[in-house]
Amino acid sequence: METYKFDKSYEWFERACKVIPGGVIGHKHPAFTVPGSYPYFASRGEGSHYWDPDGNEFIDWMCGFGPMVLGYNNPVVDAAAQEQAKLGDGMSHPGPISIEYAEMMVKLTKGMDWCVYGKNGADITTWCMRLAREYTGRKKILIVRGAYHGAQAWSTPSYGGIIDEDRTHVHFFEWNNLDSFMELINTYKGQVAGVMMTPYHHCIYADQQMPAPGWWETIGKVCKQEDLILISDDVRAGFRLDMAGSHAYFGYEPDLVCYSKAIANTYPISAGLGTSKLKETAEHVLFTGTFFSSMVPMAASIATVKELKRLDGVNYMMKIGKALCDGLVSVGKSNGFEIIMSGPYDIPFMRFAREKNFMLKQLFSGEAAIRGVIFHPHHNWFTSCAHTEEDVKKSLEVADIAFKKVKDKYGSD
Amino acid sequence: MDKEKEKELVKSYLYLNAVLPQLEEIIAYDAEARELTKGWNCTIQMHVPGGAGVRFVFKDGKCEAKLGAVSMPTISLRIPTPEAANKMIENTGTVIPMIWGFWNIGKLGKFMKLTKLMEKYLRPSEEDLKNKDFFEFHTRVKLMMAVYGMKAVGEHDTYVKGIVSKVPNGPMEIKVLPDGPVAHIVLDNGKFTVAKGPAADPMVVMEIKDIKLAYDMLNANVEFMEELGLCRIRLRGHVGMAESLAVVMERIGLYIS
Ligand SMILES: Cc1ncc(COP(=O)(O)O)c(C=O)c1O
Repeated sequence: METYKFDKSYEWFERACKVIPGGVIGHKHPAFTVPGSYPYFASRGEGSHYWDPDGNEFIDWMCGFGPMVLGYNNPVVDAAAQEQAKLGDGMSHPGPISIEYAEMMVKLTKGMDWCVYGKNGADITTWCMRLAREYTGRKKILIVRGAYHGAQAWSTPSYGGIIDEDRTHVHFFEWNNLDSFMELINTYKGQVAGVMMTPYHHCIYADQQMPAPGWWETIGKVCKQEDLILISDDVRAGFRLDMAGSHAYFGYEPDLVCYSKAIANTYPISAGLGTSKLKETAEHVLFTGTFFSSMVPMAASIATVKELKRLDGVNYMMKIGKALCDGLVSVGKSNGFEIIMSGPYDIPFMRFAREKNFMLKQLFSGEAAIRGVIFHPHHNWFTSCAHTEEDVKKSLEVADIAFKKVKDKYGSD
Repeated sequence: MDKEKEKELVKSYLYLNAVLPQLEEIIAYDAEARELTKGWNCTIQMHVPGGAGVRFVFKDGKCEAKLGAVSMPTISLRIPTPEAANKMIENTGTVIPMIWGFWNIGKLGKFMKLTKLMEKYLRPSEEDLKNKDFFEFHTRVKLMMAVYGMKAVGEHDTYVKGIVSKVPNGPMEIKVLPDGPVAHIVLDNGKFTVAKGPAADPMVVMEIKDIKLAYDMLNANVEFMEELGLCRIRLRGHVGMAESLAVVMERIGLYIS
């Protein structure tokens, strides 16, 4: 099998470095994959595939880090978006579609009574934190150590430009560890406004952790007892576990739900949903942005929801994810490696059982990328309704070669 | 501890545990330094009681720098406070250290000359840098200083300690290709051990394309993310760990230039 070259990607990168700090901003920077073995830019996408500036074609198991659920350039979603675009966008008032959109989201999401819309996940998580503070009149927010809730000062895992005061009132507990949660509750009795948690723990550089039996039940109970606002950050898992929200999947009852990523099949929109008790407070906590009321992404989101329902999308993504995950475990085994897949099948995280430092995984992912399959060495992957059995088959063939390369360099288990 | 006091403390650790230990390399490299210490069989130490300390063990024509103080060295310079240590090293004030072993005063005089000689390698002239051999040696010393400096900052700067507490344990190796200097640092629950040479089972390896790039990197003349993208600096392993430790390394510049 011939391997790819990325000459144009590098050429573009050098050009980019002159005008963009680091060449690529944020989490899509090549440094977070395997520089030299991955494309740095994507020129065109279709279905579950995309093409880089060198014309190389890839099966994409990252789905743009989550937002692609129905395939790039999905004709149904794009047609809905274009229809709205023809009518115009960015006018001086929100469109009627904003009401249709909120109605749809409220109806869809279990236990929620109202909806606001923004652009990125962090818009919503940050606002929900303020909402909890306003409602309770308290300051402290509890979050899980290692969880990601966006790149705002209070939550970014990075250090630049952060001052201690940004996080003075954010406190950390361990996932699935009730003692560490209760310790914070007791230490800050009467001071905690809310608890923000993802439905399951999707950490970076480590196996994902599902909720232990009784975990959500206890969290819910304590939040009720202490009158805390429970915020479900469903930005990453949303629409991949249950269309009614991942809280419906795991059976907990949040006061606020944060969505973004998958809800509009790559169009930029996020949504926050809440229960009626917070509706009035939501009016007092300013939530606005020039582009928050853009109508094109709302049209795309409405079409995405319809399509996901029509296709029984969640089940399909789980099914195709299971085929990929089981396949990787089995191909890994046939090459002498124990492979750990953690998290839901459609948001899986892969790890070589014997390693902690990801060198094997980096080599594996790089060898796959130069043969046209995009896995990520450190982040969880995503599946979509556009992925086919053929994609899985081809990916496993490539994985087989990649495992052999790892065996050649590092030996099998 | 107030901010000013902490600054002086971290600086004293940097001077005593990252800068001065480079004397070991310099004595091995520089003929004049070797001549000055010819036939020495002794231990000379500098330390701040309860704070930073370094000792130089001279034996068989070699010098080995060790971190920390011992109770019975041949000569000991006891400097009362971190501030005094910094002043003494920066030559910005008169500091009279308590000297144990003054009967060895001749050696002490020569030892002070040695520390002056370091200047040549730590702040080299343009002219010296044109010499390939010198350039390589200077870069090696600078790399070692940076790696030892990570320990000093990582263990004593409150802000950095906060970062370090979230970094996984294990070794990070830094290596200049194709056959340049190699050093590693091992993190163990907030404590660092530094050593020259490769690590046994590194969590992350940073490979720098060549000595020229290493020089530029250590002088903050490159854009790190750009170099990573262009594959001139490569990270293998736990990239998140390297990202955090890069912050630790960068922090050294806040204290000493
Ligand atoms: C769980 C979770 N919350 C919040 C965010 C932040 O979303 P955004 O990057 O759109 O601001 C992310 C993004 O990856 C996420 O995974």
